[in-house]
Amino acid sequence: MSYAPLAPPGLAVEDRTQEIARELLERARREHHHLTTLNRWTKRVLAWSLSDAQLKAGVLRFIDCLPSLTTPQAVARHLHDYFPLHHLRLPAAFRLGVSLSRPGLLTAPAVSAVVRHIVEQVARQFIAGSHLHDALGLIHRMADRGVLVSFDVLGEQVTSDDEANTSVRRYTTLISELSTACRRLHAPDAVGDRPLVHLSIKPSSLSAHFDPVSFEESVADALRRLRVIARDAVDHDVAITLDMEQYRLRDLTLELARRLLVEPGLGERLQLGIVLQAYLRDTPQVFGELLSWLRDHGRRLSVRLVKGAYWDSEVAYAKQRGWLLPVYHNKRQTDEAFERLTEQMLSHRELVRPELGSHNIRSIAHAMAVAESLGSSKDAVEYQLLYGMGDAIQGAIRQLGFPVRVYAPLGELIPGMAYLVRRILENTANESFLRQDLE
Amino acid sequence: MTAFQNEPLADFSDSSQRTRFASTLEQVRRECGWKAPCVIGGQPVVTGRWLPSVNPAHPSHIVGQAALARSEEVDRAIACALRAQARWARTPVETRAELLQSAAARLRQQRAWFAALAVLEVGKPWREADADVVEAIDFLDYYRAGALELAQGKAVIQQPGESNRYGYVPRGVCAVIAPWNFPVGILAGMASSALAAGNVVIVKPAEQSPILASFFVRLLHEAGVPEDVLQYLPGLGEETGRALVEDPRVALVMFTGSKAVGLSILRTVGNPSAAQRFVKHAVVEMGGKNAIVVDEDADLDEAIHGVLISAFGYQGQKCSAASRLIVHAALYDRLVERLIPAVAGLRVCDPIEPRCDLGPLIDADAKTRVTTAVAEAAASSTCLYRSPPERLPAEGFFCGPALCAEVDPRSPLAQEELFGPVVCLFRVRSFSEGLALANDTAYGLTGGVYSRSPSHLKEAIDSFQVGNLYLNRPITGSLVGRQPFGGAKLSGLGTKAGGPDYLLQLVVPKTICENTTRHGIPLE
Ligand SMILES: Cc1cc2nc3c(=O)[nH]c(=O)nc-3n(C[C@H](O)[C@H](O)[C@H](O)COP(=O)(O)OP(=O)(O)OC[C@H]3O[C@@H](n4cnc5c(N)ncnc54)[C@H](O)[C@@H]3O)c2cc1C
Repeated sequence: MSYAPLAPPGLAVEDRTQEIARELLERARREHHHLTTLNRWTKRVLAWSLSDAQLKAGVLRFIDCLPSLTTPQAVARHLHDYFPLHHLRLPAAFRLGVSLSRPGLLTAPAVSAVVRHIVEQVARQFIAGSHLHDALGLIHRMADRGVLVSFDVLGEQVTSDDEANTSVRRYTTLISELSTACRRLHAPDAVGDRPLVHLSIKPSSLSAHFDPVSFEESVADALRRLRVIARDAVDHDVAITLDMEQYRLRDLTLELARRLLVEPGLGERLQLGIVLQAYLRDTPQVFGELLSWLRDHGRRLSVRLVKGAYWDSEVAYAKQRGWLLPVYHNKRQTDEAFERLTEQMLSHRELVRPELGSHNIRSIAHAMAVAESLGSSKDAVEYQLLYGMGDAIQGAIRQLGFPVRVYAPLGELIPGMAYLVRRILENTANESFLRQDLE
Repeated sequence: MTAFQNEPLADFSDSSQRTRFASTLEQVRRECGWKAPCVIGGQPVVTGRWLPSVNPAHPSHIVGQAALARSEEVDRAIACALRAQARWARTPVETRAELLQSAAARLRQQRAWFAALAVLEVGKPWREADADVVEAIDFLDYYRAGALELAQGKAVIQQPGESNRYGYVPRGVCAVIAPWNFPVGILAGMASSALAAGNVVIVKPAEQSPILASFFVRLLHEAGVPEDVLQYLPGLGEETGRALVEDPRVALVMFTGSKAVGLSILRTVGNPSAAQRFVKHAVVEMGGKNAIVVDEDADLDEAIHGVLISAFGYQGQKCSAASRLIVHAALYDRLVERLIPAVAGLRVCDPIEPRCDLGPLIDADAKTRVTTAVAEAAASSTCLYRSPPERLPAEGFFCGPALCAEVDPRSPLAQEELFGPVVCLFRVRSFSEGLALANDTAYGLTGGVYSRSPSHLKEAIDSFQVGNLYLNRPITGSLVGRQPFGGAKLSGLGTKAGGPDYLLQLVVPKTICENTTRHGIPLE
């Protein structure tokens, strides 16, 4: 595909955005009938969730608690509890389970096994696995398609120093094992000097006391552990990104990044990334301050621009405390902010390595159009998508010759539930781009 | 006037709020050393006896001294109150409401100052101190709105020729006997509700927090509450408190505190003296031995988080605090395995430091009481965790968190309120057994359930005998107007602070029926 010559931003960018979006969509459709290839049970579960809000709540709550149930009897009882027989819109498979288990036609273990199978299938859609070989398998499969991977380690909430130390060990083990295993792997084309092995890290998993009220101590406690991971990352040529969690942890997280970047002997060598959430009203300002800081300190940082994964909980958290909402009210505001931030990010490539985390074809196409208007090369922006979401879009972006990375969570089901439920909600939210494709 | 809205909590993720609070703390720390005389009819009264109020994290640091009222001050205060009562009762409710509104506005402006003083006088960590003052603002505003509504009376049936009205009149002189654990919030709730309803108030603050109380009383006076309508009478519970409760001129006693004192107040109130011309009324909030039941399907992350907040927030010195943790056997070991290091990681230090998870206990008695109980528990049951004494600050009434298992459910440790950071764990084989164990105390204040089973949640709603039941969330931190607060059983009489029925306790209904006919002709 050839680019038009440098065009002024504004209308030209808008026209190009729509053109590219159409092209992406067509290519994606040619890859697959749906933008996301869903496995059978995920398709069903998402369909139930779309059919009826009450049923959706029931299904999500049930899925959320299933991994914690230790006996088949408990599974059977929860099925009855969540899906009373008189529920007319009860999905067939579950209804079967419920009614058969009632008069004892089917034993509780059998029902439990069926239901667990379903939920494991759904988990498999969004969670890459729990073992090193799952991770390696994925790296290879993706490499065949010219796609890079970033791993995220799903974990329970960290409530003690022991648990924080355990998460550090998980990260460092993964770093050394993956880098050893990938040493002989050939980088996909168009990857350039992008790191093959990439890790996304949840700052809250680094400290049991990651609380902004005691800002300094919290940063110090998390930094103590993050440094260990960062050193290993440098030694093994692995890049790391600090995921962005709730708004209240945002400043702590950015401070961690700044501290790492000026850490003697580490800061210049570390390939570090952070995440900006476009749904936060103050992100443009925070980004501006970050840019000045990078300029002043002569550092460069990867920046993954996303819309933000915690919208509902941010709203509830702020409202319950009587605070102004940190997030925009309307999806459209978030989308617009995302595009403005894309422009801001792309015009500061001397300070940031831009990454775009979105499945929304419009948002992606816009970034491509802006990059084009700035005369950037194709590998100026790394496009990132979540594992199990929008794989046809991944393919389309690759076909156009842009770098793509998939963010893949690794972990067991129990700690993975929060992530899993977030993904199901995201895929079925009224405002979601991917939902429109399901309907 | 506007409808009630909860005051926003401080947001300490905002660096400017952190900096401001830290500097206010420093300022208030330097200001310490106040003298708080009794205030009767607006006049300061020095009694010759002083009660020091110390910073529990640094007992050598005197926050201030309060005059100890003698029987003559009690007498003068009641006499003064009595003279003001009729006038205050006739003051239009709109005026009373305006005064409370202006008090709320003043407290909003000074909230950091009051919160800082709470850190110093009673050892509250930052967020707890802020929440205490926020609750006070909420109460002022909630009862302001409530009094206006109450003044409308209730509709009764009308027929031609008669006009029927149903309204409420104040009870009379009210003694507010306040606790130290919410030195601003609960004091404000009791005092402002009584004032809003038209009762003249005598404040008897807790011995451990008289300085905060004196500033709160001053704030109400500055907001325009007439000097003779609000008296400040610091003193000892057994002396001043008892004298107020027993005095035949006091019509209403509002008390929050221990079960022993609460019940003795109820006994006194139930035995009218010959000199009394009315039956006294008491609003009494007592303690709790609150349980959290963790079901087999609970979200462990959430449950542990909730237990840490509920059991150790403000060192467990809340009547709503969790002191019993009842866990389904299927989850017990995993929970304990994670809970112990989590508790061991809590930071016990001077609450002036923002990282503080647990500050000091309120006084030397409390420290002795809790330390002894934990030592006894260690001797008779499995103490899963005790703070190593060498990790506690050298000075101050510190006593770290403790976890005890295999406690005899009938033992005092499992039955009596300890008011400290100590949790008894119990292993149960079923959820129903857990609920039964939870109900097996004389108290019934708060209770919590962590379960993802709808039928179990319903079972808890139906049979957990508590005033405030919390499902899948911490059991402390009720908010005015959102979670009206108060206990059942021996925890309280069902009054709900910050709830729609509270003011009804502070008034008596009055019916007025007027014949509107002249010569048998209805004139309406
Ligand atoms: C590789 C990758 C990494 C990610 N890492 C993070 C991370 O570290 N932190 C993080 O928070 N998220 C992260 N996300 C998730 C991301 O924030 C979005 O939740 C997700 O990508 C969906 O956005 P979209 O652009 O794909 O879809 P779209 O459907 O276009 O957008 C959905 C998004 O719009 C926003 N939105 C929805 N309703 C409203 C409303 N009423 N008002 C305002 N905004 C609304 C929300 O942010 C919602 O997620 C990541 C995503 C990817 C692909």
